[in-house]
Amino acid sequence: MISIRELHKKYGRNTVLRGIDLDFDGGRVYGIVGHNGAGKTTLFNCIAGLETYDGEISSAYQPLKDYLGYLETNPQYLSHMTGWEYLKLVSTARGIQEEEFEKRNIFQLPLNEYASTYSTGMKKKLALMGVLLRRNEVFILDEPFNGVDLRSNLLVVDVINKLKAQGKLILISSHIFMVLREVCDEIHLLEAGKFVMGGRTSTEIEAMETRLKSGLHQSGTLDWI
Amino acid sequence: MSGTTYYFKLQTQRLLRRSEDFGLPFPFLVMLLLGLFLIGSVMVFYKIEQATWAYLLIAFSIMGAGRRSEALDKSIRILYVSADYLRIRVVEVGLKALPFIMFALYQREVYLALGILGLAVLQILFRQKSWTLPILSTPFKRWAFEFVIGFRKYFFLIVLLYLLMAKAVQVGNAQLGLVCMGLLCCLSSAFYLPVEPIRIVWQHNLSPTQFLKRKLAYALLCQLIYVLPVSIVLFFYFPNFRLAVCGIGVMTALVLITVVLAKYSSYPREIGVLQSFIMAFSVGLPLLLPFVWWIFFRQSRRRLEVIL
Repeated sequence: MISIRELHKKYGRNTVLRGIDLDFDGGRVYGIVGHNGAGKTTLFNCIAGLETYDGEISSAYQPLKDYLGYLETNPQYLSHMTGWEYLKLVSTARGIQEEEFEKRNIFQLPLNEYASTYSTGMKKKLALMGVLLRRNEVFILDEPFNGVDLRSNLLVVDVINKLKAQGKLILISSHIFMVLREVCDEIHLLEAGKFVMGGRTSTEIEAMETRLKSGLHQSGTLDWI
Repeated sequence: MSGTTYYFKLQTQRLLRRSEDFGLPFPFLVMLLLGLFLIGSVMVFYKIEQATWAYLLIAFSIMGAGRRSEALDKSIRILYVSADYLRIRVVEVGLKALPFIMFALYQREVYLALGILGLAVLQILFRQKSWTLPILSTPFKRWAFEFVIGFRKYFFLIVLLYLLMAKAVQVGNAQLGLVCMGLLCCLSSAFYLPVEPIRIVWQHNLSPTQFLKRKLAYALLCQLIYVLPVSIVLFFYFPNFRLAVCGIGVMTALVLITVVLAKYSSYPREIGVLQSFIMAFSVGLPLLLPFVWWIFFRQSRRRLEVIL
């Protein structure tokens, strides 16, 4: 469904992605893990067409952006705009004439309040509702579990499973291995702009976890505190 | 309703709410802005010799003013297909450029109108592409984050003002040079308008009075560093206007003090309509400034006491 070949991305002299090669198929959930700054969000931005890049990203859906729902790590909202108005904005942007958002308010958000005054978790939930309303084929969820309460986390897992059952392609970045194990068909480790490991079996995932934790307890690291 | 139509309907709604928050009826705000635009435009054309260049620069600054942050712009871009996003940008920049183009045409300055149109197109394209500048070193790092952020944010405008000043020196137009200096100084006062998060203030181990004194001292120091190269050039090339250069320097320093005090007098909220009017009024009547500073200082101290 999405094929990435020799993807490179630079910001000035800083090379963020160094030759990404990967294929993503529909009806599957892919987890992308890596340290902060490994290039996860940049990869997602490239797929979403928000960044220029070198290399090739091809897809069965053309243009891919029109079939893609993107949940950002920290969604931003215009000031003086209510949650309801945001959902209306999101729907109309894709030509969906929907107004009964209260019925679809799975996270029980106060839709008549300004979105910019929501808490971090509420902002994320509102953005996720917007992404779901647009009935996309491909979903990019950048750290969907961060800042969200336990009940909503479970709900997000259910949502992901339902989308998967509908044959949608889902890419998730997260640092919570426990949840990724539960929802992902494959997990890939991004390190310094390259995929260095990937897989699904317990052994493969444990190897990834070990690699991510390596160097954590070098002697003297915490001495300055 | 199409996506872009709803976007602009929502923008109008937001504007009405902002105007309500600001404490002014929307029609009055529109009339006020229109009046300021007309008075400003007439003054530029009748008071400045190189009015074309100055007007082009002012139009460019206003078209770029109030643009969204990168993060917010990304959140908007991901909602729309590329063609719709481009349409939104065209309308947003076009609405800002239109009054300037119309006034230029009214003045029969066709090339100026075309120049403004060209700059508008550049602004649209500039936001379409993710151009990244390397992190610019500034001489303000140790003292005022407002100057560091402002300098980087308005870097292109500052460069443009310097180029315009070079042009003023080349053609021997002191007035244009003084306008450039004034605009540079006004820009630095605008660096202090955005409200920083509370924790940035809270982390200081200072009393409200000490905090304000330090803020003002560093603001003036940075202003001095920022404006010194321009002043030296004007001093050297236009010896007859040295008094005017000093006058602009002092006046803009007074404005900067007023802006800093006004900002913290309503902190953590943005500067309100009352403070804005008091500021504008007192800058017009500098004798009132000490009294206005005293009021703003007291209010700021009260606001900061809760946080510090």
